[in-house]
Amino acid sequence: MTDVIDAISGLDTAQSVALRGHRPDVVSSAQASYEALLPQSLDADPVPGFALPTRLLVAARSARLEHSPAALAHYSERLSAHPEQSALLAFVESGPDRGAGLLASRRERAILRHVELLVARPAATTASDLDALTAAGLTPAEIVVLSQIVAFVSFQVRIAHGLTVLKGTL
Amino acid sequence: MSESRFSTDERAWHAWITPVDPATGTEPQREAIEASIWPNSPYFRLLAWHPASLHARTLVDQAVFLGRPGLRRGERELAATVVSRVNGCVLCTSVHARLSITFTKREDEVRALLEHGIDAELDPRWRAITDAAAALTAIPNAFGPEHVAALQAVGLNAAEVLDIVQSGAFFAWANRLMLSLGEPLPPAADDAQAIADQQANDARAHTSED
Repeated sequence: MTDVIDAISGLDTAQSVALRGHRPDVVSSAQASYEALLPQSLDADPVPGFALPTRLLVAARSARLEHSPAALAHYSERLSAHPEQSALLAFVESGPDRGAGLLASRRERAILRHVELLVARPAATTASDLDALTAAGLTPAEIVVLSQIVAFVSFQVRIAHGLTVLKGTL
Repeated sequence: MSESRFSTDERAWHAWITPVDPATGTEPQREAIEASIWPNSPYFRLLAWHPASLHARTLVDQAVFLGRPGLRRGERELAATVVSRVNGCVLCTSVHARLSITFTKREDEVRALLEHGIDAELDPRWRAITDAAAALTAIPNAFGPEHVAALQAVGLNAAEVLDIVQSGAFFAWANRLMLSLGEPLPPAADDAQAIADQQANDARAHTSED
């Protein structure tokens, strides 16, 4: 599979080797994290209930809030491969509290609200924010998957941005 | 007496939702907990609800901070400390400030960072590392060619600059989990095992090379 950080940083193979080649274990473990949280199929994932389109919505919305157009395009494109979930693409743009988001289910709005909090103000989270997710029907495993995806995208877009800047110095 | 809520004091962490009990968890959950940095911590036990991502996250952590050669470990820990301080993660800040001091022996500057934040008085090399890590933290696009140039001016090569980026980026991830799934508290009797894991990790650092 294509390395997703190379893809969203716009690195070709030679540039990737030049910039990232000294830390092959970072390259492989970052890709393994992506494949664990956002695989092509959930068949091998033991956590039920958090469907792949929902995971891609969380990743795409996080990328948008992180101001990363390349990561946003990557996750939106993957989300568009689930046409039965076309409503979710609108939520990537709207978030939970305006436009299409106002028509989202209670569960979807709770998820989207948590994404906003975790991207922009993680230190403001309280126990009652997790209570709100539980009240909207999320299990502990789903809360962990949601939190891991937002936090992982925060990591991924920062490495990709750093690489994009470094690419300009090659 | 310090006015800052950030310090090198040990902190326990209490989860807001129930962690996985290793006694009743699945095999992949037990394996992911055992492979984590602090197997007795409720933080890693909570992340074990999704064992595949916990396991991969542990590998990223080790690859970013322990991989050789490259930037000295102490300066990777400095970047982790700066990001944690900016994000407001009291526990991550305390752990990585202790590791920064262990590896760099520059206790006064690390304590100044905890006390005053990123405006603390630092030498040019630590100033460049701190500015780069802080820029990447707020919104990633704030990090630009000027930060790379400042790091190169104090002697870092491109690979070492990427070590700063990767150390800082990893704490964008780690801080978000630790801040949003539970809270730090002064250690109590029930936290003894989890604190012992932190102390063992600190002790390993004392015998490692910078």
